[in-house]
Amino acid sequence: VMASGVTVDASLKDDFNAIKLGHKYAYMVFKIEGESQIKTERVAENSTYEEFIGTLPPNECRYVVYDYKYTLDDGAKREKLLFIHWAPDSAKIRDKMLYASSKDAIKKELKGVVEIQANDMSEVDEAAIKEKVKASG
Amino acid sequence: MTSGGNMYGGDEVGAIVLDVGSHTIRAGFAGEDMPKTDLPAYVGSCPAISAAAVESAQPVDGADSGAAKQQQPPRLYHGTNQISVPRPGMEIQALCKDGMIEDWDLFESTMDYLYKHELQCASEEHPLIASEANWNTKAKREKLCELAFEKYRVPAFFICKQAVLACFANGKATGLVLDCGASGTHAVPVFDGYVVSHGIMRSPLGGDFLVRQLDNYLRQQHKLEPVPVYRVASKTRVEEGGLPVWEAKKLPQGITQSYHNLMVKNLLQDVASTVLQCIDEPYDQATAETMPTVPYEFPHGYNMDFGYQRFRLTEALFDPANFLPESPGSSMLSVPHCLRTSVERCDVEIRQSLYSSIVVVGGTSLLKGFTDRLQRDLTARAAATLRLKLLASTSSGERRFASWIGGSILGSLGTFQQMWFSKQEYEESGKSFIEKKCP
Repeated sequence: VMASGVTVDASLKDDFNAIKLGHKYAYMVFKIEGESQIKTERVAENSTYEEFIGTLPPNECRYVVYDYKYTLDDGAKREKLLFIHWAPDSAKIRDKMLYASSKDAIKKELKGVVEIQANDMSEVDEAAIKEKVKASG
Repeated sequence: MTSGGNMYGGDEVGAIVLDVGSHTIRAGFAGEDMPKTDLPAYVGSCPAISAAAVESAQPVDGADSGAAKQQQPPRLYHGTNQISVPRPGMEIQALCKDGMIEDWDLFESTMDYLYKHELQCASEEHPLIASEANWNTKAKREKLCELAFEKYRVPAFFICKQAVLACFANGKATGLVLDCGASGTHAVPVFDGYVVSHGIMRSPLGGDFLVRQLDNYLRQQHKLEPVPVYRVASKTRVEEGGLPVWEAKKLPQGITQSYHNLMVKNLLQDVASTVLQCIDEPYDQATAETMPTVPYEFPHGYNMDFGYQRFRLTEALFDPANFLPESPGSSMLSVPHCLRTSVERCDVEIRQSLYSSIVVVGGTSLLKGFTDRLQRDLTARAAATLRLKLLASTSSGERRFASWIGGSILGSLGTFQQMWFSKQEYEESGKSFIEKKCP
């Protein structure tokens, strides 16, 4: 697919494994630095989903991996990794283009995630997320 | 900043961004917010007459017959200013057909004009990133590539589908791009940066269609012949609806029908963008009559108020079955239906993602009330659980030039410099290598 050429920082893979295999973090946020490399911006060890979405920058794009824990109707507990491509409507067009065209580069490094595209808070609303996660099987 | 492995080996000079449409061609420099020029996608063509034929009124003898037969190429005119001048014998010819470049000679002349007069730079000094129609053929994309490298000697080239550029520029790698342009409205599903070709739906309901609607109304129902400005020497103030009082300009002989038609079209486009509006619910005559009227004064002085027609003329976009006067009960799909059909042609798993990411672009989408009515019509026919979201930039520039802007940003990214199809690669692997470089 048409790509921006932006690369992924080498340590990002380790960070991802820490959350995927080690369950060390609730979520991690990735940022494109200097329009050239995707790096881990910040991590949180403990957080609720509500708390997390409150930390999303309102006018800037980001990528997020969130370790989402939920319960099925029959009481069974599940856990799925979400990959959120956050591109708020109010972000600058340059930012939107950069993150959309670099998404493939980071996604290649993230195996076994459920992808969410979100342009506003309603698209990261927990109800919407849960629906998407359940649908992914 | 130098990126290692600069494939084209030149200095980091700005790339040129080219976005070719049926109505206009947008061109400019990567890194800029807007294209430098929005050129008409037509050329004015005046046949040249050989000097010998002009001089001699009789058939020439053997010695001169070669010279008499020798025809010089037609004189070509580009850009709104040049094309708008009434010239004897100047025919208006379109560059594109079906959204793709059709007349390559005229296209080349336009590129020459662009480089020399609008961009004012040497083609061999700037990489070129071009957009292409979402259904562009392999042959045409390779031909453009070949033209760029062989004739224009560009150091590097890239080509990308218009819908992908527009979708990315709106922050989505997956979305349904609804491009409402002059030639029509096209619904193009994009999934993870790829156009889903079998999902593309094309409708002729676009800007040109609205202009024809308006033309029919004015001539048939209102009994008005639209007189373009090139024919008007002077006009007198008349009251609303009064017979126009004007003086015709003395014009040279041989003004062509194609020129006249274009001038009328331009006039009607101005009328359309001034008066037309989409009503927010299915058309109702009584409601439309209560809406505010908009006046318009034509170049020859005739002035009128547009009332319910402002809304009636656009209703065909949403209800062609009932509002297409020339073919009542038409089976043509409305814009919302076109969009729905496009989504339904895609895999069931991605449909919700498409509906929640409807990217609206194109000049015709700027029609007042269009996006509101589209949202309403889509919602009315959708399941309650379906999440519908329209992304329609409030900036008219971003709506009209979404693809160009996407190309401008891409072409200006430092990291993109290693993604170009370089001159060297072209020389080594040929034009078909473009399929690998620009998937």
